Amino acid sequence: MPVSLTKSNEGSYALNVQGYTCPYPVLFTVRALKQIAPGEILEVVLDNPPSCETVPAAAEKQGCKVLEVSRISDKLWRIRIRK
Amino acid sequence: MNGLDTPKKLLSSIEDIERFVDRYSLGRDRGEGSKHFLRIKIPNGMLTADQFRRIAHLAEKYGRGYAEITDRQDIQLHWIEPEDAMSLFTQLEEIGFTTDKCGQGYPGARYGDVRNIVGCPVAGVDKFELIDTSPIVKQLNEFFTGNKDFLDLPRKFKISVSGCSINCTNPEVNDLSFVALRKLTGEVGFVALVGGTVGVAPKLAQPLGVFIEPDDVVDVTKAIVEVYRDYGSREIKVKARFRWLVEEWGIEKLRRIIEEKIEKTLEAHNLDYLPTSGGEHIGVQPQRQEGYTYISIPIVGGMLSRDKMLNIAEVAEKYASGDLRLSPSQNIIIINIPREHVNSVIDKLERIGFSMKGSLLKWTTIACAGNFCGKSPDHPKKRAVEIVDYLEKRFGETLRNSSLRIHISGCPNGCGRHLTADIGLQAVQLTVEGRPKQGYNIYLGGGLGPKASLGRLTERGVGTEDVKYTIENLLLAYAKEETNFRSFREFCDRHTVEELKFLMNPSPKSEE
Repeated sequence: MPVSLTKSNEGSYALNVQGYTCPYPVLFTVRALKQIAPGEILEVVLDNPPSCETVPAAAEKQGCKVLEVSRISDKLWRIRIRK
Repeated sequence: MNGLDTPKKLLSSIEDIERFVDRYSLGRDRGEGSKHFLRIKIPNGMLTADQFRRIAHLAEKYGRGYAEITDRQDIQLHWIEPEDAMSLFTQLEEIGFTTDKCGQGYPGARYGDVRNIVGCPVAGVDKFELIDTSPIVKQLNEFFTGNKDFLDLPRKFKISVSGCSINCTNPEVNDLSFVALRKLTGEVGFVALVGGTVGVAPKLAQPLGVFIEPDDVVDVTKAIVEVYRDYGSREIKVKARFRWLVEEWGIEKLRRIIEEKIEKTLEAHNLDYLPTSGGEHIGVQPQRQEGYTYISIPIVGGMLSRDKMLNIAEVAEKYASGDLRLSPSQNIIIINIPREHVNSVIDKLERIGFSMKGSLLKWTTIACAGNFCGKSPDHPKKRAVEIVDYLEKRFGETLRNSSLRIHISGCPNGCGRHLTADIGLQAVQLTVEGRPKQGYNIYLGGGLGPKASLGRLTERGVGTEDVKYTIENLLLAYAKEETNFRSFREFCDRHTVEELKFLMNPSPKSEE
């Protein structure tokens, strides 16, 4: 599944990184965070559980706030980040 | 906003990342303060001193100056930060290597890949080999690397190809392996084994019952991996390895489907036992090229520092052709040493901490990186060094003739292949008087080659400090029954588990 970033609402974006192992969820997330504006929300959807730790850590290194890490189905997780 | 309303705009800015996706990744660590490892695939374990030196520099810059040789001829670095990945991948690409895909973190049975394809480390120089299989390994590696058709297997898939006569690639524990054979007619080809694994549900690979000509190995391999991709179970992860499909289908059905795929009937060839001796290329050996020698450097547990790597690279370039080989027993071999330089190489290696003297245990002992993956309560590699040092001190040169193997795993997953050793140790967490304590379960009598078998669980929960004394007791009993420390497996077979337990007598002794 190709990586995609879509605008879900005003000031809110969804990054789908299903199918990517480490370090790609982190690399795509950091890249996406660089391209959205401060205060906007990035919602990362992934299926690689180790990334539930590494993506929030990388976001925080960028000075962003991790709002939520949640399991949305058997094999999918969502991480909400505010830039 | 910055114009990110459509996926297309973002996609156009991530090509620099995406170009690495199918060939490079990081694995997850949970120990020693490391969060990620980088497992560099070295096909057939063949690399130049210059490549080795450049990897040493990567270890220095990104991995605290530490590297490990794995039992699949990879080089593994730890403490890798994801933010450094792009720089690392770029440099690795320049050096000429890729990595495992490391999809084991996924909860489901998917994103498995073909792991580094193992080959005899002295392919092409072994005096007694039947066929140089390194070109086949390279061809297979080129086919599977980054091949999108084979990056979503149910689980990982392990292949070995060997043309040597001593079983050094551990064919029985691979999903698919090819072992060279010379027929009575003189024709050299391969027998194939399928469905081996040493994980929590261990199984030694079974013969496919066919003779495969060298030119057919690549097609047969592609067909078998396709079969696994298309028919392997994806329902639950623990039942997704190839062994379960082999068990479900049986050898006859598997063979029929392979033959349909390659559009060729394979020659039937029954095999009572592998035509091998279950060994390792050890010490100083003459090459098939007159006047040249190879030297296998013993590296217990495969642990290396950046300095040692640089020193080995320097020796290989100064005294030989600059070609190195990594062995499936986690050692390094310098090949193409002219006869007149052999003593210089031995002296130089001695000075940098690698002695050719002492027991063969230094070459045959392997251990997993359980201290990094977080599943082990102990440090299996350090334990391996401690045990080998102690036994060498205790038994001295008398162990020189023994091909005894000690394998150490940090958990039941068995990455240290503890079930295939004469003495296999698997770390366990104990509770003694309400307190957590580390220990090892001891398996005895396992081995590959003729009459291959998995070790028997003989003792549970021996404290980590007592393991070396327990093995010492066993070897003392063994020495009374056998001269020259031969036939350890036969010694184990002669005794019941209860008798072996008694012989081990796990009470601690003071070190002299």
